[in-house]
Amino acid sequence: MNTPLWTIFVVIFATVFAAFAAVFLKKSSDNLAFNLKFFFSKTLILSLVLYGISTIFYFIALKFGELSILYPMVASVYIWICLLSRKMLGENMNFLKWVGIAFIILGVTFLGLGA
Amino acid sequence: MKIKSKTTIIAIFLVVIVTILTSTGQIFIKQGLNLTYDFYSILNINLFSGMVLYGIGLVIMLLALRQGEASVLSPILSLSYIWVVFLAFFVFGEILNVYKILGILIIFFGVSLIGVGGRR
Repeated sequence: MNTPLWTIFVVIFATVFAAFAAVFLKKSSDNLAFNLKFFFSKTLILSLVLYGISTIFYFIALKFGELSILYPMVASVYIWICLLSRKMLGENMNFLKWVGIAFIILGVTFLGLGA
Repeated sequence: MKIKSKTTIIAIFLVVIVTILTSTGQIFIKQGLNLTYDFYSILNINLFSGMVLYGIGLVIMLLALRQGEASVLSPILSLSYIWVVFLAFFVFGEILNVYKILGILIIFFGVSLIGVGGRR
């Protein structure tokens, strides 16, 4: 099967959701406590909901698109996470981190080709 | 002077544990979905185990994020790509080809760079 264009858009959509989910998860971890108050906190719930939505989108897209194209796009989530964490969490990026992410995306591309 | 919060080695170690848990959980869930043939069979032990592993992974991830940056710890999660390739080989008999091996090595290298870069 070839990869329909809509599956690519769905995956990009999903990665943005997943990136926000990761940043919100980090935010929620500041208040980590082993009680119900934490596990029902807004940030954590938001993170889990966003993760859930992105998982469903991944599932749908990967059913109709090829791994060789979609896998690397899924790995682009780390780019969004770096950009978002810089804006929302004040984390700094450096050259090594960006190169590391580039290699991860490259590696995932090979995995997609090998599938 | 403001002390910048950097990522601890413990945080990185915890995330590696998380990748092992979620990869195993993913295999359990995949197996669990394979065994689902009617409404009642969806409640099988594989699916349940998989979700439990994900749940434990979530808690450990939260612990890790307390002592590390999201931009460092999240990419380390890509190690699960590597574990899943090996697990799929042993459990489902999915072949290992040169692309997968190369991909594994490159991902590992990338994760190492991020690990180093995140501690600078």
